[in-house]
This record gives sequence, structure tokens and C-alpha cells, in this order.
Amino acid sequence: MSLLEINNLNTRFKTMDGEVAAVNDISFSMETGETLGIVGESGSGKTQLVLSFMGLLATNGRADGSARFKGQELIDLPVKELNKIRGDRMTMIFQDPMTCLNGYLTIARQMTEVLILHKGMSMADARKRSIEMLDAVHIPDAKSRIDRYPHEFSGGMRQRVMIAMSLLCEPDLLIADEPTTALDVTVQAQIIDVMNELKSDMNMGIILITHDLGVIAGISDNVAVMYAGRICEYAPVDDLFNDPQHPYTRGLLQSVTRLDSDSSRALHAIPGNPPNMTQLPAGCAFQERCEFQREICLTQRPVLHRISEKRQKACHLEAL
Amino acid sequence: MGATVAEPLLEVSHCKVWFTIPGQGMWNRQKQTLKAVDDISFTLQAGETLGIVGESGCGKSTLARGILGLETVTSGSIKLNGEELTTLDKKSFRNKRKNMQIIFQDPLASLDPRMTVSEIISEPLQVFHPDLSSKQRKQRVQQIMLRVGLLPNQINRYPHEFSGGQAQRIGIARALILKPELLICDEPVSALDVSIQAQIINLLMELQREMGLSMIFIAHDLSVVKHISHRVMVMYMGKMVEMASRDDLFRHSRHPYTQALMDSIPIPDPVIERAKRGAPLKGDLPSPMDPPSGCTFRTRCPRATRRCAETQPKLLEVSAGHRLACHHAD
Repeated sequence: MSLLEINNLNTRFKTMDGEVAAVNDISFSMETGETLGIVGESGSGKTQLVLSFMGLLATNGRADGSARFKGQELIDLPVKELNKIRGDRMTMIFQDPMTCLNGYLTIARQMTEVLILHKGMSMADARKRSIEMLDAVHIPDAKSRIDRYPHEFSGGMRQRVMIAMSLLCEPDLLIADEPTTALDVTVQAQIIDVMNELKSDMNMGIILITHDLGVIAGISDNVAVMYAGRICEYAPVDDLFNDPQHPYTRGLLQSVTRLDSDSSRALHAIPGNPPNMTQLPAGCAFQERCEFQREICLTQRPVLHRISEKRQKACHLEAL
Repeated sequence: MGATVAEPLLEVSHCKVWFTIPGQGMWNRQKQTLKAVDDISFTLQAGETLGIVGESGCGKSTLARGILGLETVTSGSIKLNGEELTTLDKKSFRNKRKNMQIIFQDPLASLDPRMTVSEIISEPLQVFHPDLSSKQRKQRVQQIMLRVGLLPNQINRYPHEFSGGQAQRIGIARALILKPELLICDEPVSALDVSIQAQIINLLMELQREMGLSMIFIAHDLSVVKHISHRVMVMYMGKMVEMASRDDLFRHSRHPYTQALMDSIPIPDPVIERAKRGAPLKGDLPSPMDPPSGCTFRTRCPRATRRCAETQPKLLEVSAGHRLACHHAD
């Protein structure tokens, strides 16, 4: 049984401008201990995908399809049942830790609450365990810092606190949505380091959502690239970076500035802008920006199909 | 760039921007000083791009705002084309400012949502060239829009109708319509998607070549700065810690902070990334209200010794065009 198995997941939002198909026909599965990276531009649906099966969609959003977590169906599960899983077996950290922590409560109060609720621990035990967890994410002097308020921590420290809090119940799946985007590069390196450490210690599955290909490269086992609400390529991390098979993936890799490349030539930019999700073209959503566009791309939407044992892509092109 | 004898476009010497902060708390009324920019000197030639990097709070944006007169410079001198700016009165300064323009990090936040694109881009013309007829103005606006990659039929639209990348193009058009000599870019691409970042960087480099612009390019992303700059300055807690030509800095950086910054940048290559062990820098920036004694970087520096706590390292020229402030420069 897979840790997480998503089948034909669709998410629609009703808006004033019509229905927005934010997540379209997503299927993938991941195993315990696996780290899946999800990359894509803003608006590509990577966050809405996870919010769909976490039951955290905005009120005008609706998900259908199937998302099984250790065999249990999550879509349309009553909130009461979902709450037994969320925060315990499946947890999430967000981009901005300050908006996720309650500014009125001490860290101790917020952390022990999780353990008392899910594990029925006593206050003293919960406190002890929380301090251990803060130590594990390298918060110096955790014993006294635990009684402080969120505003007394720096941005990087707050994100560590969030990570510690999300790992209190030793979840099977941790979802991290752009966890380092708001941080300085030096602090980002610290957070990635902590995540890599915990990943090997705790043997949990991680879904890491980011737009930073460098961050994805260091931590992922498999990578899903999303464009306009669909997965356009799915591959083991080395294959994806060494031999991208979708024109969008290749364009992304070519358009990043790299510290280890030696030149000031013009960057290979992907032309155009991401599509308007309320007016997607017929056929392939990437057609307008694609250098390999053919007639079939204008009319027929490419489906995600297997191109080798471990790789999938959604493109009419046989090989890139 | 080479060794030009020509007078620099911009000459900043011993620039300080200090803020006075009232005492915190009921009984503590003692004022404190925050040294946001502390004794920075550099020159910028015509057509040159200077990259400024450092963590948030290091003073890089404050320095830029000081040059533009958006912050009051506490002491020091800023000369544009040989003319001192810090002693100018408001009116004369305003005239100089058309020669210096800035583009900001968040393109949508820096555009007035109630103005059309044409109003936004033509406003500087109305202020500085009131003699132009509306037809001439419109022509200039269309020219620059086309040049930065906007369509002429978008001229009457409002900012919210544009994506982040396009909004940044509007910001660039507004900055360049007066044909300034100096363009300051404050994190111009960090809010944009990866595929759009490359478009904007390419555009800025093209425009620089065409218009002979000098640029100050502020970013926390060293790989972007490396791509676009001729020279790079590294700042830490308001001070310059290292400055060199691009190739010199990226091949032979000598300050431990510069080295740590470079090692922190993730590289889109799984093999390289997996081989990295541990974060290069521990801890956070110290409080700028209470900076460490001696070298401000010593609390996070792997090479710190007693000498670093006692004396502040001087900024010295260690080789041609390479300036460094460190006691352990090897």
C-alpha cells in the first residue's frame, strides 16, 4: 500500500469570472520515506493540489477524484475524521511562519497543544517532548526559548519552530509549501539542512513545493513539474535534471541563472507569460510558449503517459 | 570597463545613513543609533553595472535610497557627474533626480492601481517636460512600451490586468522614459517566476547596452548578480566587507562571508546539491542596534579569533580593484 495515492484529482473554483480549473486530472503515488518535489510557477496549481486533499480549500473550491492516504480516502472525508489525520499523521508547513503561529500564545502553549490533543500526553510530558523537538531542529537554548512568543524569534527560527511543531507526532507525511522562499539564502541553507537530517532520521514522506529548482535538486527523490494545473513531467530527480523530456522543464532549467556557470550571455528565457487559468486554450496549455509547437498541439491536449519505467510526460513530442 | 580615466558617473564617499531610535520601554529614554549604512565608498562608471548583495537588513536598499535622496544621508558625499548632491536644496535636487531612476521589487505594489499604463509611464514626462504636446508624449510612451516588450494596445489598461512580469516591464518603462544615466534596480526579479526572471534580466542587459545606462543592481541572489554585474559589492550589517570585479570575486572571493553566501546558493544539479554537507553559516544576523565589537561578522565567522573581537578590520585594497575587510584574508 502506498503512503499517498492520488487518482484523477480535479479541483474547481467558482469565481465571478467563471469556473477556474485549478487542478486537473492529477494522478501520482508516493511511498514512505520518499521525498516528492513539486515545481511550477505561481498559479500552476501546486499549492491547491495539496490543499485539496488536506481539506483546506477555500469555500468556493471543490475537489473530486480520489486521494488515498495509507489506504484511507481523504476526499469528502468529514472534518472530524480529517482532524484525526491532520496534525498527527499528515502535517503541513507554509511559506510564512509568522502567519501560521499564533502571536498571542507562547511557543510552549502552541506546541504542547498538539501533543495533548493527538497523543493525550500530560502537560509535563508534552513539554519535555516539545523541547526535544526544538533541539532536533537546532534552536539554541530551547529550554528557555520555549516560553517565548513568536515575535521574539527571527524568520529562520520561526520556520524551525514550525518544522518542529509539524513533526511532534512523528507524521508519516510532511507537506512543506515554499518553506524557504521568505528566508535569506544563508538561512535557507540551514533549513534545507535540517530537513535533510530529519528526513533520514524519521523515515517519513515529504512533499516539497517550491519554484526553486536548486532547492528541489538537493532534497527530492522524484519531481513532478506542474503547468496550468496539470503535471507535465514526472521523473526521478537525476533524470529530470540531466535529461528533461518536456519542453517546459527544459525551458525552466535553461532560464535559471546558475552560480556555477561562467558567462554573461543572454539567458535562454521562455517567451510569453503563464496562461490565464480562466481562458485556457484548446490543446496543450504550453503551446504558445513552446518552441516545438505543432498542429496537433493546438487541438489535442497531450495526456500524461509513461515514457520509461519511472518517467511520465504530457507532450505530443516523442523525444526532446 | 578597463582603466578609464574619465570621471565616474557616480562617486559615493564615506556615506553614512544612521537612524536615531527612541529608547524602548517606559524608563529607558536613551536614544540609540542604528547604523544602517556605515562609511561606504565606491565609484560607478558610465555604462557599468554594480551588483550589491547581502542578507536582508544589511543596508543595501538604504544605501540606494540614500543615493536617490529618499533617505537623509547622515554624513559623507555623493557626487553625480562631479556635482555634490547631499548639499543641494530640494528644488535643485529634484532636477538631478530625473537622471537617476529606480525600479522596485514588487512591481504591482509600485504602480498606482487607479492610473492607466499610459498615465503611469507618461507622468515623469509631464513633470520634467511640460512643454511636450500630448501627441508627442503619447509617441514617447508608445516607443518605450514597445521597447520594453509591452503591446501598444495595452496603453489604456490598468496595472491589475497585468501579470508580475509585465508589471515589472511597466516599471522599467516608467524609469527609462526620461532617459536617465543611472538606474537603480532594487531586487527587480526576486518576486517573479523563474521563466519570467530570465526575460527581465535579458531586457535590462539589452537596455543597458543600447542606452549606455549605469546600473546599481541590488539582490540577495548571487547567481543573478553574477550574471548581470561588472563589479560586485558585498555588504554585512551596513558595512562593505568585500568588493571586486565580477570574475575576481566569484573566482577568488576572500571574505568568509562572501564565501558562505556563495556556498548557500542551491545549484540546480542533484549531484552537486547532495554532496553538500551542512549549512555554511550558523545562526542569524545579530541585532543591528547592538552590533558585535570589532568585526561585526565574527559571531558567525568560522575563522574568528580574539583579534576579530578587539579590532575592526579596515577595508583595504588587497589587489588591483579588490577591496576587503578581514583580518584573515587567505
